Amino acid sequence: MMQPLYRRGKRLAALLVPLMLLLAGNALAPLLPLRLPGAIIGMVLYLLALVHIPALRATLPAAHALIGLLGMLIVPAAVGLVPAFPAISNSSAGRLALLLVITTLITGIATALLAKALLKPAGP
Amino acid sequence: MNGAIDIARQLAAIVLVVLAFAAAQRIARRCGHAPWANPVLGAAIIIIAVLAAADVPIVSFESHAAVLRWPLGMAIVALAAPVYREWPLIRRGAWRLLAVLTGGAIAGIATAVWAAKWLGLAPLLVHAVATKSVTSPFALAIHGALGGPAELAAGLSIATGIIGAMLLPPLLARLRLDDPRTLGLAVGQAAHVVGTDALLRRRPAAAPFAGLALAVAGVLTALLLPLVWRCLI
Repeated sequence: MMQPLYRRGKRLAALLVPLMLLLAGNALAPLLPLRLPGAIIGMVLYLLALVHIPALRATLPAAHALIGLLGMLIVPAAVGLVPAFPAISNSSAGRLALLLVITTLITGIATALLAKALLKPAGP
Repeated sequence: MNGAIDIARQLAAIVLVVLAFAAAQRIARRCGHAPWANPVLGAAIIIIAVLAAADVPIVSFESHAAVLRWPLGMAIVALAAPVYREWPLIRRGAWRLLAVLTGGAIAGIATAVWAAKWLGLAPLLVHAVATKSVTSPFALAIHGALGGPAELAAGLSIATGIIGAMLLPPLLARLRLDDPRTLGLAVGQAAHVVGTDALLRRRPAAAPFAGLALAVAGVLTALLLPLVWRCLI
């Protein structure tokens, strides 16, 4: 179904697949014992769909186009940092900034070292 | 009538986001995508300046920009596409990958909580920083379930993402931990969506691993945090 649609250049139709899976993820979210964002459930569903339903692979270019917008779409959340400030008293702001920088670097380095130690060298 | 004004304001918020991001991206491109020229941070600064100049409260902008949560959700769903592209590689080493990301998630929670206590931060902040390395939709969901400070945690999560996106790639390059897989996993784990977005522009080969890491790390944190929640303060 998706293939001829897509070939006619209707990338918009391909966008319906991530939208439907997002809706499905949002609908499933309250039913799961673990609180997960609907979008992540949708992402898992999309991965399963791509692996098992070859016809859906025609939606890959549309998915990559969406991912290209990711940076722009998280901008409102970054703006939302400012209203969150009052909860942080002036006295702890500096310490909090220090914490964010140091622990983020440690987390990244720890993950990188673990990856280096545990994973086999990639490919030939 | 009210509805029409609301739609106009939503439209204005969207236009502001698009234009600010386009401008920030131009600046970033001019600077050769230097790590410090992060377009997410740049666009946020532009928007905050515009809102201040126009005397619009940020909270009002936020409520009208909330319509962008739908395309954001779709873009997160779409992150399955780069993961699918690396699927054979991921399947071959699934358990080892899971071990790496579990270790990373534990490091993310433990370093944040430990440092927050050591620095004597308020209990509210100890809870809020525990989710700083998961993307903000995850932080909102986790704190929603556990009764933590969701909005504050989401803000700290974005700040973490910006810090990681700016500082981690050059640092890991200096440490020679920057083959695409290692770099992608580390940046996706520590700096989630903001880091992944930065890699899409600066190191596209690493981005699928970052997308994988941010999703798995989010799920693992949602699993691990309830177990230690009460011991945090």
